[in-house]
Amino acid sequence: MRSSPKIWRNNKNISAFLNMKGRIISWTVVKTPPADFVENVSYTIVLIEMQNGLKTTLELVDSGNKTIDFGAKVTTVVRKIGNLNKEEIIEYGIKAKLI
Amino acid sequence: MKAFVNGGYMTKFGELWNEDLHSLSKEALEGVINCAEIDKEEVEAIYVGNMLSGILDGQEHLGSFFTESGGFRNIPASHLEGACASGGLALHEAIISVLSGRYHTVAVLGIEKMTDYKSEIVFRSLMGAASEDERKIGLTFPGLYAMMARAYMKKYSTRKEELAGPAVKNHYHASLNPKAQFHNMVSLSQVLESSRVADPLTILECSPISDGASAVIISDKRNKKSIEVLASEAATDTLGLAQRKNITGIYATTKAAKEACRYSGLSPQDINIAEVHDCFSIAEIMALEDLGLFEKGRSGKKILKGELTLGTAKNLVVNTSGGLKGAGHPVGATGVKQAVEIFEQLNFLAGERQFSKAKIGLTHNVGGSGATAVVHIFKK
Repeated sequence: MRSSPKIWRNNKNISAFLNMKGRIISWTVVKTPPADFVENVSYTIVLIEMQNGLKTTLELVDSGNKTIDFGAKVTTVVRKIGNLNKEEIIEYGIKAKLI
Repeated sequence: MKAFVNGGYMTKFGELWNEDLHSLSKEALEGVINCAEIDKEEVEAIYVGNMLSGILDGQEHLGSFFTESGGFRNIPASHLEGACASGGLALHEAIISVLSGRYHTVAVLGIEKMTDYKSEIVFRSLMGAASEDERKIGLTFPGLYAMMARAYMKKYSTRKEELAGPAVKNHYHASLNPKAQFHNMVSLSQVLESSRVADPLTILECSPISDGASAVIISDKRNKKSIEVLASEAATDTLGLAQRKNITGIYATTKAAKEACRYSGLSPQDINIAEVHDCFSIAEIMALEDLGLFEKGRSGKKILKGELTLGTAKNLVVNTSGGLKGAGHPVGATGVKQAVEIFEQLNFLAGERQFSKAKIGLTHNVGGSGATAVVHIFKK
């Protein structure tokens, strides 16, 4: 459930993840989504290891025709998170882009 | 002190539109009491495994809810939640309560009602078992296991046919189980050509959304149907997949299995019948290796050759119930249903799906993408 205090808390952490570089460990294309993501299908999720050793799962965006593969390089970008109705606060978060 | 499973019962699993939580629990609890040939008054406590009632139905306080449904007034009852391992955890706690000497006879109820809601609502609810980071980006459990499958296939040069093998085997076993959700057999090509849910996993490599309940009686006294609990172990790991050192196996399974072998004095090779957590085809492949039954990268080939299938298996058969894939996966019920299957097999009550060499049985129940694992070992 979307919560304003939670978004406010999480927003303070976004800058620490900006412009990080990493490599793809694994990935999937989600074709059967959970509620709230039905409008987005299909979308790609990547499991990446950052240069600093941090591992995380992120949505892959803005990667055009570039090929996903094991070890492919990505960088982090800030994007809007989730699908909103007009009444809700816009939430931002980190996604990944192939480089 | 020893603990025994003295009775086991499962309702039909499937899309049970005429049933609700009350009717499913009533059937399972009455069924298990009849099976164990005890009076209802002998049950001193109930342990309930359930994941989704609070999220989907808004119904919490399940201990009391099910003592009322089953007509067990005023006895203590607790709800255990560990995602898809909720049933296994409830069984684990029930066994500990008997081994501690506090109770002599307790009931374990695993139960879930999932098909009242649209699949995307169920998928979102199931993601309560994942980390917030995974939930926020639209990941699903098929998606998480798909990433594990892709990494596993790369590391061990696994062919897609090997990945599909567990689904073919488990549908065959389910065709022999009257209470299974599916009774149709599927071919390797049907599995491989079915639609993709989360690349590379196809829909026939994923367990279904199901309703159902299962129950066992745990006691410190033997009856003629008793199977002895040789080990009951649980382990945890990080909620999120990314935080794990290795994603081509589930460490919580390895840890729980090692402890179970140490406690029972058995080795994995002593097991000749196993019910393992095949929520996705890759999950059965990894489980067999994490449990120590086969070397890493080997189990897919063995499944594909029919070495773990009823009729062609020699020393070990896996998921005679049909597993989660064929028998269905009402998540809170699964861990208890696995024990019911081993109870029936070790008592030679499994009918057409009876394995003639069933002596030492193992159950393996996983929560989330491997954040909880529960392993039990039983013998007649």
